[in-house]
Amino acid sequence: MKKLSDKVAVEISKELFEKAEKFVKESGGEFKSVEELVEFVLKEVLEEEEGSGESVYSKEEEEEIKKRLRALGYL
Amino acid sequence: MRVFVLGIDSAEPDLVFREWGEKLPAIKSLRSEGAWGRISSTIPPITCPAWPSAFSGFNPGHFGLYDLRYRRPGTYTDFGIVNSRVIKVPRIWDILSRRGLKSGVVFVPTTYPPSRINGFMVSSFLTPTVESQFTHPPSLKKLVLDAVGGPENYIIDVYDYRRKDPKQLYEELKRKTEHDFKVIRKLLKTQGEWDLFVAVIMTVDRAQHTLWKFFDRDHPRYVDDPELRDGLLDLYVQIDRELEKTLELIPKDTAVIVVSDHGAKRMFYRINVNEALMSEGFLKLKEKPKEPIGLADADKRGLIDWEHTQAFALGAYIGQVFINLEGREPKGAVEKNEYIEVRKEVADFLKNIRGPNGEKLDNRVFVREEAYRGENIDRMPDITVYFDNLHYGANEALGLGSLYSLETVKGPDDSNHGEYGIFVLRDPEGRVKGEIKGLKMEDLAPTILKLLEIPAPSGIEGKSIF
Repeated sequence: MKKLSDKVAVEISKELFEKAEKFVKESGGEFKSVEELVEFVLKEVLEEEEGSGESVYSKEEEEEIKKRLRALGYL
Repeated sequence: MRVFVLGIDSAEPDLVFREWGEKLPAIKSLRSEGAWGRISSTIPPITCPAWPSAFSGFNPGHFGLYDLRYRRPGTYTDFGIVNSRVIKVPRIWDILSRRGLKSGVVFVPTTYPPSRINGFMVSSFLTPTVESQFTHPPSLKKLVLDAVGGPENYIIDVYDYRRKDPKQLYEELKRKTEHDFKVIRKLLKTQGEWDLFVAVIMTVDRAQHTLWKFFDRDHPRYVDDPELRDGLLDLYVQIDRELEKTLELIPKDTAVIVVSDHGAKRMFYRINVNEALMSEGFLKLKEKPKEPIGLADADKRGLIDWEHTQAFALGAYIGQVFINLEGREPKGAVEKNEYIEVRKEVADFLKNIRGPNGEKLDNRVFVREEAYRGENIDRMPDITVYFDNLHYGANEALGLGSLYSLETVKGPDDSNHGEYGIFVLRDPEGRVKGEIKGLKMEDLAPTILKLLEIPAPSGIEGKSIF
């Protein structure tokens, strides 16, 4: 676990913060704070950028697409 | 300035600009008011890497893809399917998003899963099923499905063409084009203003593999069938008409681009590349398969003697040969200091393969560093071969007992991909006009960025055409 001191402050626009605050309130406890929401969203975006792409298709989906590509003559 | 791009996968310049030029009035009018020319596809001329190169401006060696599938590193034949997340170079809609500009990206190959761009996205034919999350934002899916009359009417692709009657296939492809333009126009009408709108239509690519032999009298398997003679032409004409209707929805000050990722040409035979490599001792088997099987199946069954194999090939249309290099391949048999020599031997052999009657073929051979640049060049084939400059396809199956086949284990095919696509640009400011020569796929992204007055990212390889 990272220590609390590993955290840094980031400034976002007031308008976005207020929207995020409203979202947190309406999230039914899924997010406890705007910080938690920001961490979650940012992590998702970065994982999407950095991910290897290997886990995009399930085994079944991969087989289905390979079947189609074979029918198209690619494989 | 805004930019509207219609991609027509596999549209052939000889047909669009010459043979059928007069029958495609919308494209003809864009050409006469703007700039046009044939555009060199990537090596190889396949949907992927061609579209990712076009929309990023980077050579395929940067993102390491040479087909719609890729060899998982550390394996010979464990293939992954290309998806948006394995493409690590930014595409124009990513660049626009960072600048707060809005893009609509519809049916563009290799955009599944859809990215969270500023704007909206509908993924293309590598979407697994209609249940998949294939739109961004997710809430857009309902609108897309409603545009075609519900999920039961949504068509991801038309693909099973070898088992279908050509007439049935023709009807299905017509429906697919109609379906796709319904979605495109629905999005244009409902999603507000945008800076860039890109859509790609796949039907011509699907059609050419089956309907080419009905119009091309020089095709070795030409079929004189009055009902299907104009089948392929009709599908081009349909797209032209749909384009015309779609352009009515677009403000006049929009730059319009019509482009294809590669062309098509008649295919005579296929070279059974792995059989050829076997005949020269570059590929060794432990045991001969009893019936023709694909390379991956032969590998799974343990039939390939990797310890004594120097080269093996993938590819159904274009020969993609890998040297069994020590340190890179699981059981590499070619030492690093022998690599250049072995590669040259294999390349020379492939270049000189002749036709079934001993006729000389115009084989084009590209070694890796001639064709590719970039940080993922190690993943690219060591040798790429266009047999008879793409009038012959390739076949990776083993156990065929001959160097030539008319068809793969999956069935016959009329046409191969061609090395040139089409490019047409109508710039409302009239900065470029007339025929342009020397265009290449990577020039598309910087040209679009220049039209939008956005600087191209550093390292981008293509150049704006004006």
